[in-house]
Amino acid sequence: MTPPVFDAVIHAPGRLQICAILSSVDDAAFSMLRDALEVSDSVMSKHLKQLEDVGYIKLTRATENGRQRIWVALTAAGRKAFATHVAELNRLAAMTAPTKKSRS
Amino acid sequence: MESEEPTISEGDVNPHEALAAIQAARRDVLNVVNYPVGYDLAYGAVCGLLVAAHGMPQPWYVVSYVVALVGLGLMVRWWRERLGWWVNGYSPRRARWVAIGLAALMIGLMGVSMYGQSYGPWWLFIPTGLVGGVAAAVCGRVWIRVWRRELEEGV
Repeated sequence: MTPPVFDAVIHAPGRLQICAILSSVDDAAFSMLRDALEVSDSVMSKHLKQLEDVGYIKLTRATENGRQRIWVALTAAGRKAFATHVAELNRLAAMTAPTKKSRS
Repeated sequence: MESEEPTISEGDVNPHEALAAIQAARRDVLNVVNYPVGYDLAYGAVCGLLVAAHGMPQPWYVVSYVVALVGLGLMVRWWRERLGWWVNGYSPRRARWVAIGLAALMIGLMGVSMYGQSYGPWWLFIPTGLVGGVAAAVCGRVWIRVWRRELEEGV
């Protein structure tokens, strides 16, 4: 069993949400992720580059209805890294009491 | 010029907030699975055709199979265009059992269709196709419901 491991790349604001969504699906469109996070194209691209550079995601470019669309998927390494990161968050959460702020 | 991200260390982390953020991201995006009933009907029709095809004589067997597979492909494409994501029925740990159950039922019904083709009655593919179609349409919605609950409980 892989031990829980904190992953600073995944944990960054934005990338945590991206990985949360991608971990639940096979792949997702760049536009959908961008709209979900309510960020610009450039910010989303930066996040995805960070994840791609460490091998956690793969990007696929497809032409649909005459326009190019980018699809994003977690790699096996990315899924494992996210799972161990969440396991570490759960471990930390079990050790600490929730603050009022986190209940909102 | 790119701005540097602050380095995050484990000591700075509020795990409860992080876990809540994960839940919220999934809930806000993936729980809003708003698709028309027509999609279920189309899925049921395609699956029903796949079942019925096994009881049809040639060339209708091949024609029906091709139409059904093309239909499935178009439906996947529509879903990806409309919702911007895709998950195959066998990926999620709990929801996959709905898909496996439906597949088992479909295979059984295909067998019955083939039996009708070989030994009679010749019309057996009609009720098997109908049963397969209804089962597929219902299981599609059940799968979504199980998957959404799995996402809510998942972290």
